[in-house]
Amino acid sequence: MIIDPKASSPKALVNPPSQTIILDTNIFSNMSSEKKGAPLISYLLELLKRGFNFAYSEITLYELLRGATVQKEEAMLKILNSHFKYFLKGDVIIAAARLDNIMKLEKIEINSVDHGDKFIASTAILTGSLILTANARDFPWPLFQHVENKHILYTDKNKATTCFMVSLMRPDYKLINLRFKERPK
Amino acid sequence: MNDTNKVEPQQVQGTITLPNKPPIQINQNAVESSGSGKSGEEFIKSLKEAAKNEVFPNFSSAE
Repeated sequence: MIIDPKASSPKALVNPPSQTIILDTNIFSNMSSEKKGAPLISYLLELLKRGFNFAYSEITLYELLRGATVQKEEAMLKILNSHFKYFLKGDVIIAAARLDNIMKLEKIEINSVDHGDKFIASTAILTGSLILTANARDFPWPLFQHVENKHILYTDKNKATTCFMVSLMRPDYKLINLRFKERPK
Repeated sequence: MNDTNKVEPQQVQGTITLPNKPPIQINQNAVESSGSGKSGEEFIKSLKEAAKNEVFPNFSSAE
């Protein structure tokens, strides 16, 4: 998969879009309570101030709405439908299947990565986005690189300070493209 | 693992091409949804409200 800077229009050079961060589904689930969500939201605000935009994949809608009550479904749709999302178009599905094949060539244990994460990963590859996740193992090295890690501290139900880590992941386009070309015919 | 250096956004330009026969030309518009144009600040404000009201499911055991 090649990023072709020559294909950009003169208009894009004058006013290029900001880089997008795709929020993995587990980022939303880590906002399931105020105590856990507040420090994570502060980090999102920091990223926003640095100039990033946020988006999510349509697969996240599916993952979040599964098992939801009518009331929760309405509340989630009200928030998520008003924000920017990437469709699960055919090209995303094709790229996800190719990524799966490349993972096998890389000897990555593909069954440990959910299909949903492969759709999110392929969307990031196709759009030049980063991924923010609470489980970096779903975007495995060496095809994806950590570009930033952040510990999120919060007070749990027992009033103990605990933490989880979120990671910004970047697809390694050079390696992904190389592995794509090396696929067996 | 410690927190790492802060990364800055890169300016994303041009199209991204899947090497294929024939090549599939893909760009932001090919995979984007329009949304309603709410700003990042408004999105974060709505996320704060969602966390307060415990709207999102907790998948911690399944992740």
